Amino acid sequence: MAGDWSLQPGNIPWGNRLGLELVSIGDGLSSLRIGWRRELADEDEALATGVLTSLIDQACGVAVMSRLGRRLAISTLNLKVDHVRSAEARYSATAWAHCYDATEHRAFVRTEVWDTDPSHLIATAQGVFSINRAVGP
Amino acid sequence: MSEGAVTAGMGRNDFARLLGTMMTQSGETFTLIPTEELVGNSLLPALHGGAIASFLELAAQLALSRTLSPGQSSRLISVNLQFLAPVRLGAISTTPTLMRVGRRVAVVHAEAVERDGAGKLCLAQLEFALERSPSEEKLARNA
Repeated sequence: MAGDWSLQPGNIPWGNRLGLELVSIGDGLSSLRIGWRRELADEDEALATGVLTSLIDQACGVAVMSRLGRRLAISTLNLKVDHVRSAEARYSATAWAHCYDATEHRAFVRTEVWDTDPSHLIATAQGVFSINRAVGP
Repeated sequence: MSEGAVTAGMGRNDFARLLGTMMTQSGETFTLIPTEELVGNSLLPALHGGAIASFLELAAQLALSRTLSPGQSSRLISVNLQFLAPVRLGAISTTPTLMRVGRRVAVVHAEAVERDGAGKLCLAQLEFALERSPSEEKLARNA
C-alpha cells in the first residue's frame, strides 16, 4: 500500500481551514505539513500549539489508514502532546506519524513534529485511536 | 460578563484571535460555537480532535491568565486529551479548573461538555510554563 494516495482523507473541513497538506503516505507512516500563516501564529510569530495539535491529530489518522490499507472512520481515544520548544518564527511545520501497531478496533501512533530540520523537534505525541468502520468502496 | 466573542487579552496572538471569534464567554465558562469548518469527520459529523484541543487549550490559558500578574505569560508544555464520546456538531462548553499555579508551572483541567446536556465529551489536562518579564523577574528576586 506504500504511496497509495487514494487513502488520503477527502473532506476534513478543519484540516482544510488550517491548510494541512499531505506530503507522503505509506507503510503505516504519514507526513503532513502546514505552512506558516499569520492567522495560525502566536504572539512570537510561531505556529500556535493548538495548530500543531491539529496537525498531529490528523497525521495520526492518516498513518492509521496507511497501516490498515483502507479508508476508515477513525476517532481519537487519547492523545498526549509535548511541546518540546517553540517553532521558529514564520516557519512551516512537518509531522511524521507512525502507526506502529493496530488491533481490530484500536491503533497506536507516535508522532514527531519539526520545523527547520527533521532533527529540530518542536513537538512529540503519542495516541490511541478507535477504528470504527470502513468508509466507501 | 456578558456573552460575546472572546477577543480580549489576546494581544498579537492571531490564532487565539481566530479561535476567539468562534467562542463565547459567560463568567468562567467558554463555549465553542459549532460551525462546519470545525468538523474533522464529515460522516458523523464530528468535530476535529485538533479543534477541540485548540478550544480547550485557549479556554484553559484564558482562565489561567486571570490569576497571573500583568508581566507574566504562560506557554503550553504538554496536553493530555482523553476523549469520552464523539463530539457531534453542537455547542460545547468548558469551565476550566486551575489545579495548581506554582512559580514556574501551572496545571489546568478543562472538561468539554455538551452545552445543552450533561454529556461529558473530552477531558484535557494541560501543563503550562509560567514566564515572567525581565522586570517582574527582578522584582521577584528582590522580594
